[in-house]
Amino acid sequence: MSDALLTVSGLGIEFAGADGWIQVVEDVGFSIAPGETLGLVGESGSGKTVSALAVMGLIARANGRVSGSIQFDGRELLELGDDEMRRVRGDEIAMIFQEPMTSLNPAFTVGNQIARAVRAHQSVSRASAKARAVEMLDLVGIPDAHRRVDDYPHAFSGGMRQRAMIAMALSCDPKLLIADEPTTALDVTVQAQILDLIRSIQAEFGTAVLFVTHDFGVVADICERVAVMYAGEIVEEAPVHEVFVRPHHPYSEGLLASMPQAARPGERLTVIPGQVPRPGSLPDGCRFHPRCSYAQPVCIAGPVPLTRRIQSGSDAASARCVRESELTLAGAPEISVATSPSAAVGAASAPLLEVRGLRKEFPIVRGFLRRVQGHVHAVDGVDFSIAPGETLGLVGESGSGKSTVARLVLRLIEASGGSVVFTPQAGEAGQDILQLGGRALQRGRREMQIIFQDPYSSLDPRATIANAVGEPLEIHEGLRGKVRDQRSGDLLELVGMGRHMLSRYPYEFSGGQRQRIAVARALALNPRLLVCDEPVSSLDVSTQSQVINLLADLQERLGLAYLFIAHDLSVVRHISHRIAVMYLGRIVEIGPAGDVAHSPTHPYTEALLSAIPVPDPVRQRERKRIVLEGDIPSPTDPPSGCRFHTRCPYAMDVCAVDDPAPFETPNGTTVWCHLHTTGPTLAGDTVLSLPTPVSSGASV
Amino acid sequence: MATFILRRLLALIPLLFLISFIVYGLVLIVPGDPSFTLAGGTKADPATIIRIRHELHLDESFLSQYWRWVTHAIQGDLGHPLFNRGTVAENIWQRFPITLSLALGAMVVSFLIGIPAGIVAATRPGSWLDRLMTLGSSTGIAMPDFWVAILLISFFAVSHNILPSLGWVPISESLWGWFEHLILPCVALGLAGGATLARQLRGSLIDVLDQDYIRSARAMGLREREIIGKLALKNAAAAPLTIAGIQFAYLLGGTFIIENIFSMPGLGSYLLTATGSKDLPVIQGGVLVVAIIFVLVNLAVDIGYAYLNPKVQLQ
Repeated sequence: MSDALLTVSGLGIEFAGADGWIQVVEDVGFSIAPGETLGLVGESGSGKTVSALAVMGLIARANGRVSGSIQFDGRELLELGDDEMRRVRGDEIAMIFQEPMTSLNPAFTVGNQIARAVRAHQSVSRASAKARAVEMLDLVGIPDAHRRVDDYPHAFSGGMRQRAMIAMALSCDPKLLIADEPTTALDVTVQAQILDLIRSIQAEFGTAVLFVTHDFGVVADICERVAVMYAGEIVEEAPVHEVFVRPHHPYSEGLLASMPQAARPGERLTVIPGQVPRPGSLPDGCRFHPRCSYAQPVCIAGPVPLTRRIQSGSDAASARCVRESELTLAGAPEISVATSPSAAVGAASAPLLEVRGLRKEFPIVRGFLRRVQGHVHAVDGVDFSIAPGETLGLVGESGSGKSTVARLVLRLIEASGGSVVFTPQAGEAGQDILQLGGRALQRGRREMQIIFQDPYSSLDPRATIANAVGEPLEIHEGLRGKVRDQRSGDLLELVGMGRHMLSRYPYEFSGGQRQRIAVARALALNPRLLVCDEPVSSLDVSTQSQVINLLADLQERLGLAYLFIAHDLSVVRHISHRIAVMYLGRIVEIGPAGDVAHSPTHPYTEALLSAIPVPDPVRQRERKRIVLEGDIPSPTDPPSGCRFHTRCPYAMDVCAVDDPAPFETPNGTTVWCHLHTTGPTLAGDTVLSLPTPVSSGASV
Repeated sequence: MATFILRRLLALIPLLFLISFIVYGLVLIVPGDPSFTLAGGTKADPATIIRIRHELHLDESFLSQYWRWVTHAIQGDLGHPLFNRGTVAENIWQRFPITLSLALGAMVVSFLIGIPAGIVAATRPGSWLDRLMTLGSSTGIAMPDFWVAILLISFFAVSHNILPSLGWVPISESLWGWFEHLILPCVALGLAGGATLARQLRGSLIDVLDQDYIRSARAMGLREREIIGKLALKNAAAAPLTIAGIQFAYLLGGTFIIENIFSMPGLGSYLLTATGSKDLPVIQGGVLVVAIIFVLVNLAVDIGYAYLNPKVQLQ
């Protein structure tokens, strides 16, 4: 492909380790034509981000070595000097990153940072550089750009920061944009907005995009070609349709199958066993063989070359598998639309947890006299109950108040009102957690435990696993020494780890293993209720499935109830019996998981479902989607009437005035929406479900 | 920003009252009676002592003494020294420029040493320059300022006669003379501060250079000079700035000793003499002035902090 904009070939990257150089990327090659979008896909540790950084010339020479060839627009980038490469960066190749919250400098205004980027490559005045910043912010859809240009990053939401990053990256009209997981840290609704933005920019300016991601849904949405990376190598490269319909490498097949969208409710999620090997301790032969269900002795014989099936053009395809010609691998599974079979768990028995009218207001102190000027209504009258052994999924965008609910239920923060009645032993009288004090509260808490989102910061790095898991046993049961370690070992085995790991430290474990340790610690006191606050959001797809399967197994064995909080409806849908959807501190819809996830009755649920990309390139691009405008409004001054009316595609006059009353559908879903009560005739006398359910884009 | 500064200024009022109360009270609980000394020591006759006590209002209650003193102090009247002529305020005002020049000069020396050394070390962690800086700063922190002063005097003044070692020339008399006399005392006083600052800056700059937003700046092709000198430094300056505010208290204390070594007629030597003779109005006035300077410097640090970190202004 002589007309390619970027051609990477034989790329090798080594980093300095304690015992010499460690190869992290080997013989990586791909090319991108002008205006094309290539997806670089793989789990963390596969080498995809490092490869992108190498294209940018951002691997520090002091501890990194880059070899091979990176041809860009007729030049060999690896032969350029430092200052020549600096001129290419930002001007011809620009990059946006995963974490919009930390990617902008907090000490400078957004406009200042964009203007600096412009002035680094063009000799223009300060005034015209700032004018360019306003123009770019306007282009990426920041409202009121001429005013917001002087704001500091902390005044921007996550989605707006990522837009500002895109504005900065595009400020010098680059020919290639490298996007490194640009939507991973964002809500699905915001992700849909950002993907639309990148697409429209490509259409307008003909920018080529190298899209680094672990999410095949995003790939289906935006990429034309896909390169799948594993353990520092490209294992498959092909047009996007081909990878989804008929992958040629077992790793691609495994990644597609382990997407939560693909799972049938009640069934275990498909997982790729084990984890990505660490650089420096790679297996012999095919690097994937220890995790591959098709592995045979031939796979271990020697290094596997990348074999081209189709040589050239945009159809070029290759794979790195010795058994490629014998295997017929499955593409992305059909999305299951079946309703959840286990909707009625424990419906008859008394609830384990009963939350009524739960409220939390944070005061805002402002101004000269530091008076309370208002309140953030983080949680504003939330009711729900959880039966023994049941999972209630709680979903919503960031800012909806779902994590605050988790903390209130465990009384990690004090509620402003309401009650949380917890009945650990059926038949006994329940206790209001919010009214307990001292020892009674400590006893109550034994029965309810929490696991947090980030397994990297929720374990003390200086405590051994024995100490981390054994700590609750010490505090609540006074166990010490061997007895404690015996119990801790049992707990580790319960979560699928070995008791020989007790003497190790957290840094020796991967994210998924740490989350298992966190689960073991939470189970130490035999709780009845486990609050899971985004427990898999920071994990890779295949690890995510492993942890979810573990949670499902534990529920079956121990009869645990879960309050499962996540922003990802596809994960929640799989594990929950019932789902509650939160928006701006209130529940807008609560009902059986299958009904909420497949025939939503609230427009917000519908929009959330619509924003999840369907892992099917054809359907994802054809289906009509509801993209919510803007960000979630501020909970300081929530909209009147129905809080969602400012973003609701169905909003009527009444919605801005009256609070909607609850309405119960025949399926047992309760929904707070005027469409069902005072609404006119959207679909007959009352609306039983909205027109765009999740994955059935074709049926619209 | 203006509201922020105004609010911080108003918050100083109760603080200053508290300080004045403590300053006044502390001196009174020190044993010994100045009226006894004034009346002639052991030979004093009791009637004279009582008369002097009455004149100095020492026979009144503590609160009424304090109230009299503080209401005068607000109007700039700190009373009369017991053993000298003039007013306390005049005496302090005369000596103040010397101490201020010394303290500010020492700060400048700290910055001139600490900022470049910190940047050089942070941008090359692990290099020989970095190790040299770490070694140098340990030495700088370990050496007491009076000892550095003596070394400087013996080298620059006694052995080589390059710089003057004693005395003080007002800036109005001779700019060069003023500057020349300040060099050695300021270096002696500012060296340890510079070493501390270099270490602080190195640590926080290394952290900042590892942040995502620095990677973003590099990805946009900004020049390394701009990235370190502006983008990183503004973020890294917050921690060293806080330390600098605390360092200033240490500097003010240090001026007392340095002034004595270099025979400078500053506030320090004045207060030292007054303490020896239990000249209460001088001690109280002098300590109050030093405390106010310290509070104002820390206000400046807070304002600088708000400039470096725009989020602070919101809170």
